[in-house]
Amino acid sequence: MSFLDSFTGGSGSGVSDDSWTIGKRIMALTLGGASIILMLGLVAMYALNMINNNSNTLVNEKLSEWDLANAIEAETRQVGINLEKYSTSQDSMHFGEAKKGLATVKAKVDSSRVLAEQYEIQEMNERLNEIEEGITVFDESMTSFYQAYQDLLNYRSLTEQSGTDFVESVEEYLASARTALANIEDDSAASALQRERIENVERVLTDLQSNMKELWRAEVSHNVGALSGIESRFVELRSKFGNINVGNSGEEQMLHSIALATLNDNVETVGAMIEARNTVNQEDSVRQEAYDKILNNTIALAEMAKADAYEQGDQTNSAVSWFIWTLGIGVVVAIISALLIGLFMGRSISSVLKGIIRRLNRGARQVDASADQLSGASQELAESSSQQAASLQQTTSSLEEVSSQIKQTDENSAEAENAMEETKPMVEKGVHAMERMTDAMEDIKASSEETSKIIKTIDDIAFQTNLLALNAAVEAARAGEAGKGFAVVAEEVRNLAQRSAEAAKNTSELIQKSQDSSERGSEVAQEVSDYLEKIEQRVTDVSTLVVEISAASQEQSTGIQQINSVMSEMDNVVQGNASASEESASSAEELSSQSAELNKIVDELAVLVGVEDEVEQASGEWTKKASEMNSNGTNGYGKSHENGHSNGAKRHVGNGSNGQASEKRAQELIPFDEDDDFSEF
Amino acid sequence: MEQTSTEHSESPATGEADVDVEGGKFLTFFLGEEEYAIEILKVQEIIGLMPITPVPKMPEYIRGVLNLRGKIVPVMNLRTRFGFEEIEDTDETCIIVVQDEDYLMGVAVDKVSEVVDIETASIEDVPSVGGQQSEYLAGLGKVGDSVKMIVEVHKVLFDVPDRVLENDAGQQQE
Repeated sequence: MSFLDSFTGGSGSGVSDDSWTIGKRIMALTLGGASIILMLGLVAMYALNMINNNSNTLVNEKLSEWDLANAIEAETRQVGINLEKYSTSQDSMHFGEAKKGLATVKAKVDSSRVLAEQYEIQEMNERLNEIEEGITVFDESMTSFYQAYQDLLNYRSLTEQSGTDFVESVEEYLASARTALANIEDDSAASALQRERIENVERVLTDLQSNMKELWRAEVSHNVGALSGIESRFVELRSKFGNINVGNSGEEQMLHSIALATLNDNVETVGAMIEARNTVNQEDSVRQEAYDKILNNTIALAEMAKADAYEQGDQTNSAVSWFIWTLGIGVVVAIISALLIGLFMGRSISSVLKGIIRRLNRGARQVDASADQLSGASQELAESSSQQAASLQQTTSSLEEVSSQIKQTDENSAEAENAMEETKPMVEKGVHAMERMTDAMEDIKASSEETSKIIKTIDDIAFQTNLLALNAAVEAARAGEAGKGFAVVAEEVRNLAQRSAEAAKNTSELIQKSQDSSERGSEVAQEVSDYLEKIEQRVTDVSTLVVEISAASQEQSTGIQQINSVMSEMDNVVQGNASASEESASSAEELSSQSAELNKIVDELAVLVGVEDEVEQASGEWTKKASEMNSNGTNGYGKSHENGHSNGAKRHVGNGSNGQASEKRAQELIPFDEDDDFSEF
Repeated sequence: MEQTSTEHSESPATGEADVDVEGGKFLTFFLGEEEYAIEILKVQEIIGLMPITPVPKMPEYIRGVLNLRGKIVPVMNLRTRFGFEEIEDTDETCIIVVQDEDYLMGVAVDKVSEVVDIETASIEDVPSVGGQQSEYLAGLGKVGDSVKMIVEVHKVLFDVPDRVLENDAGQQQE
């Protein structure tokens, strides 16, 4: 529980943010659960897919491989058995069956080849190659074996036949020889010879018969070494029989030669038979080798397939068990996290609801208090409305004064406009006068320049005169005594020249001064002209302003008329306000009873969510706080308390004494810290 | 007239130590602020500034020559001759034509002043500083409070290389 407390408390501030609606919270819970289930489902799907793949591989590839390998092995063994049967019974039916069986083996190998190529099993391919080689060799050797065996059987019957023939011919010869012996019984020497002859032949016959027996035994036991020994013995027997002296009798000789010919045949057939047996044995060994090869490869293939299949099965098993564990743990985790999220969401929702109820409760109390205040305020409004009406009367009379003043302004502005109109041409005339003055100044300047030129000439003349006077003085000095009077005249002339130079200089200075003055004058005239132009501009501006003022004052007077009418309307409105404010006072009473109802509803909701105690506490606090507010606002709402809010006044009297204490307790008891709430939950 | 001329021709030869300038009428003129004086009998005439033709290969103080009513007269810049700073010509710049013996020489001065009488008693010797006298001055004439420096005309104007004067003399003879 402590863990949960810390969990919800720690992240509570983040998640129980007010911007999260309850719908969002539940949605978040659902989404969280759904996402966990989705994750688990994905894991399970992945697992099932993996198992499916494994079992597909097992069934389609490994088991088929195994099956085919087993079938090939069985068929091959069946072929071997059939061949064995054929070799013991010499029945061609068995050989045919063996052939058929081999074809079946080939077909199986082909289908194995298809499988190997489909799943790209390298080892199986190699094995199949070997098996095919073996089958080819086996097939060929089987055919040649059949041929050789047929030969062998043929030669066997021939040998038997020739042996029988030889025995018959020898029996004939013996009969003839015995007859001859009976005929020559008196002649002991001849009969002894004859007897010896008969005995020799009989011995050959016995030897042959024993040899034949050995031959058949060796043939049946497929003993090739014994057979070749027997063949040499047959050859020896033939030469022995050939060398037997059979007497002079034509019949006997003929019979002996016939027997010798049959014996010769017999020896030949025996040789051929032995040769055939050799071939058969060779083919046998070759076939046996191929057979072993096929079998070995097939068995190896089967073993491989079996091992693979087991491996695949083990893999599937381990995957299944791993996924069982994973899913189990996932389910456990999902259940735990769903529980945690649900718990947490429930807490956060209920905490939000608790907060809302607390606020609702506070709001309801506030509405209650506000209704009281509203009632007082409405009464005040009524009073102030009547005051407003009085003020409106005053305003109306003031407006009339303003109206007359505006009319005055209008007249004045019209006069100003006229004055400005008159000013305008005067200023223009001033500008023209200044221009004329500037021209006059220029004239003065020009004439001064002329004068200064003349002065210059005068100065020049004075200089020349001075020189002349000096020259005259020089000449007079040269003249000595005679020139004395002339020298005086020259001196006087010189003085005159100097004075005129002086006068010219003074005049020149004066003219310079007058030139400077006229220049300054023209500059000043220019300035005056500029100022006049500016004045002209300003006059235009002022006249437009005056026109605007006049228009504005006319508008003002119409505006004042409008204000007057509005004023009377306002008067009506204020009257209406007064009655409306009285109505609102009674509505405030109504509001008060409604808010009491609201309080009840909130209390019921609190009981439903389970925050009764806290709300009760909070509401108790609220009562105290409200009373405190009332005690603080006594100055501001003094009137309203006197007028009819005995309720508030009572509370004030009841709790006003411990105002400071209640302030402190309010801070202690109103739960601002959310962690406290959770700990009680 | 002859007497004076002979006296003046001798004076440079005999020695400058004695005051050999007699009193009489002097033409005074200005170079800058200072006033100088020339014996009036050596002045032929005073003319205003006329076009002066520069002549090549002349000393620096010879400004050139001018045509005075058909006579070619060399013109000397007295400021340069005295080693003063040269200035621009003004309206008052004049040329005093001086005659000594047979030679004529125009002298450009800043301003012609007047004709004054200086008595012989008022003429004093040029003071010598460190045993050297200004060889261009004949004496110092006192008129009232002012001092007029009397120019030693022969030394200043005609103690110049011969070819300056030869040219002139040749023309004179013609």
